[in-house]
Amino acid sequence: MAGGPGHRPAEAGGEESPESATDEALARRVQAGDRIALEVLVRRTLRPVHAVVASFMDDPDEVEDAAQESFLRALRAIDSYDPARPFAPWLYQIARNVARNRQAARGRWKLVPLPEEGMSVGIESVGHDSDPDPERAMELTEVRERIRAELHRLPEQRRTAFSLVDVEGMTAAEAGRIMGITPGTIRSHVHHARRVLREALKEFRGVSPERGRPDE
Amino acid sequence: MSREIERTEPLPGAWLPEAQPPVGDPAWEGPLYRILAAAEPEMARRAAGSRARSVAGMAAIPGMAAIPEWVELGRWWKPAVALAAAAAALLFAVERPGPAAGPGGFALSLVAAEGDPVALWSTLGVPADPVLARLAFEDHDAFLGGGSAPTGEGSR
Repeated sequence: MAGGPGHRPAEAGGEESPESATDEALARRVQAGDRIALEVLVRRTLRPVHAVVASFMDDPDEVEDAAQESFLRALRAIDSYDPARPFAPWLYQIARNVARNRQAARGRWKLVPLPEEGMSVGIESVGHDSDPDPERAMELTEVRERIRAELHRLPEQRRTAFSLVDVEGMTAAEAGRIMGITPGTIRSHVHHARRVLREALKEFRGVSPERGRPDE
Repeated sequence: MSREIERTEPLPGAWLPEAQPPVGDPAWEGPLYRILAAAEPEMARRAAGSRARSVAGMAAIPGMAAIPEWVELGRWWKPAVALAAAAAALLFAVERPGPAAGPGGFALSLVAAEGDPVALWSTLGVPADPVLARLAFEDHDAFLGGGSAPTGEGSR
């Protein structure tokens, strides 16, 4: 997607190399069956598509399946894409629909099972996992699980905007290009998501929603 | 609201779900090639369709219907150029007045007739019998001396 790090500005002139071509130019070449253009386009948009899909589901295997389905659906429908319009939001809509359909087919959010030792699967395990205080480690696990649950309760756009910016580390402009909305709207979504998440964490002992960090 | 948004601190990364691997990470190679492999039938179909549309599109242009044949002939440009050069040289040689030319235009007629006696006599306005024309042609002295036309009377 254009909002990803691989996005390239348009160049004047005739046929440009795939690496320097815009997403839109690549999509036009994919319409004609250009395999190199497809590879460059997929390579460029793979991470954003995974990020969007991952905001709907937790299982990494399911995320990859949904991302692959998104690309294949996009390829089958590429003739309906108008190269005069931004490619990234078009692809985002497809990925979003795929993820929603899979979610609906499941009937509910998949809850990630907790291993016996109590640590969740697929959660970033930075720093605090080696915390010598078992009570504190348990609390951190609960915080993570609560955040996951609250994330899934957020409105869809707010959740995706939050995931792209705060989880995936994109700028508001990058996330806006992917989702087809303004950076200001992205910032607003992220702001509200953060507030909701902090509010949900108030009940936890030792976690300060105001400062956003566990109390020392 | 904008300032309020800017003031909102992000949550600590340790609280959040794990991010996707960064761009360029080898972890993306597997998913990438699985997608490309799954897309191959569709890409092959598209590439074939694109070629067919390209040929049909050129044929649809007025006066361009023969372009595929010309494209094919382009592979033979060297022999074609050699042949054209030989033809031009031949024309140049034929059009120059020869020192030993017989009746007017005889050399040119000889070339145009390509060795066919009947055609040669025809260029001179004489309807000739095929056998007699050959005999008369072989009787060079009689011919140059203004001998009788090979019409069948008095030539045998």
